[in-house]
Amino acid sequence: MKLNEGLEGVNNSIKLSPEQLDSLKELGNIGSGNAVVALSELVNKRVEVSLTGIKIIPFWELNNIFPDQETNIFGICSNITGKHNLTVLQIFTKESMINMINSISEISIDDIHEIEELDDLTRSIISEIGNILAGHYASSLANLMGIKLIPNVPVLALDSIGAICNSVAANYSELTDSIIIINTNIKIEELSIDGIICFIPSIDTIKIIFDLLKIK
Amino acid sequence: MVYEERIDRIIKPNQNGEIFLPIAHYALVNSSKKYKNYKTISIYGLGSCIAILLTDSINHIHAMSHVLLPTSENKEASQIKLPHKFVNTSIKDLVDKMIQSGAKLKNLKAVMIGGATIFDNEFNCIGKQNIKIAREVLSSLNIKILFEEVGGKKGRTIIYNIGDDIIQIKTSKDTITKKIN
Repeated sequence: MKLNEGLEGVNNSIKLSPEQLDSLKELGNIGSGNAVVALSELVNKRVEVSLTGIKIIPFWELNNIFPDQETNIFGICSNITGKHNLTVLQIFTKESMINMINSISEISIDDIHEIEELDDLTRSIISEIGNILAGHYASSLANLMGIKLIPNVPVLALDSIGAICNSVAANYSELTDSIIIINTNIKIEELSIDGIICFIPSIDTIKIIFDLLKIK
Repeated sequence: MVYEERIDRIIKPNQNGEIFLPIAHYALVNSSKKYKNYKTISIYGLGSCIAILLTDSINHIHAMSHVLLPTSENKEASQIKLPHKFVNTSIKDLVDKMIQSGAKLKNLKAVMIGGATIFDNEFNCIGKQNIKIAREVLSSLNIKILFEEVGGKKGRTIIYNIGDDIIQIKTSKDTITKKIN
């Protein structure tokens, strides 16, 4: 799964310097690197990671950057709230999620149509995968900056990317029209798992991050 | 029709006559025979967002918006560059623009779609709040809601066929087709 290329002709209300963009990318690399190590231990397989990308887009284009608007995908959304507001959003194709569940547990699933039909065990396995990835992502950033970042229990969705992005956009666009998304693609060839980890900080949190890292 | 310079209005349909409406955007069309180039207005992946369709079937003016959040209470009206980001400002803007284009307030009727809860254990109930505020604003303007297809847990795709005045609402489970007027 790859993110589509950035869209042109957009008015961004946030302007970041090349140093700022690079440092956010580097945070994405560190966070996703840690998350991927944890994932690789969980499934006991090699995980391939792409370089981290960063995009600043108006909130209504959030869903456009993901491929495949029509089919249903899994979204695992871990929010960190309080002093710092950020989200770690994980997107997996439905097949990827089924393969992942089947490979790390005794359960064997053929297909999933909706979240409500999942039994408690399957649901908690998915939550736990989300928790492990988001937790490692956040804690590596927290360590780096000397702050506390503890993700809430993740919420799950199985729907089109547009519908999933609505909730994320709603969370971050009350005050601004731009969303910063720092994304890393992950792939586990042996298990046919394909996904994207996105780190979405609020504008206020970005400012705090730049202050802490002494980036102007 | 009045064509005002607005970044959030989708005027040009694609070559098939379709208008795709992103969040915080709106479209206003005239369905009389003079304006044949418009065929449909569509929204893909409507989650907690809400689509508001207002129609004046007598003057053939129809407008639809794709709205993200319930109210703009924390913001001054002049600061809002995108009125269709919020339900309360969106409905008012749609009504204004429709009246400017020749519609009459007393003829306006509404259709409301969306406001689903996509994530389980949702952290916020944006969808439900969107529905609530939309009902309040519409009733304060005495605009009758012809029908609504709101709430639930599934994302929707909607295709409004302008010429036939038929709206199609698809979820991953089923498809509903409704004649509006």
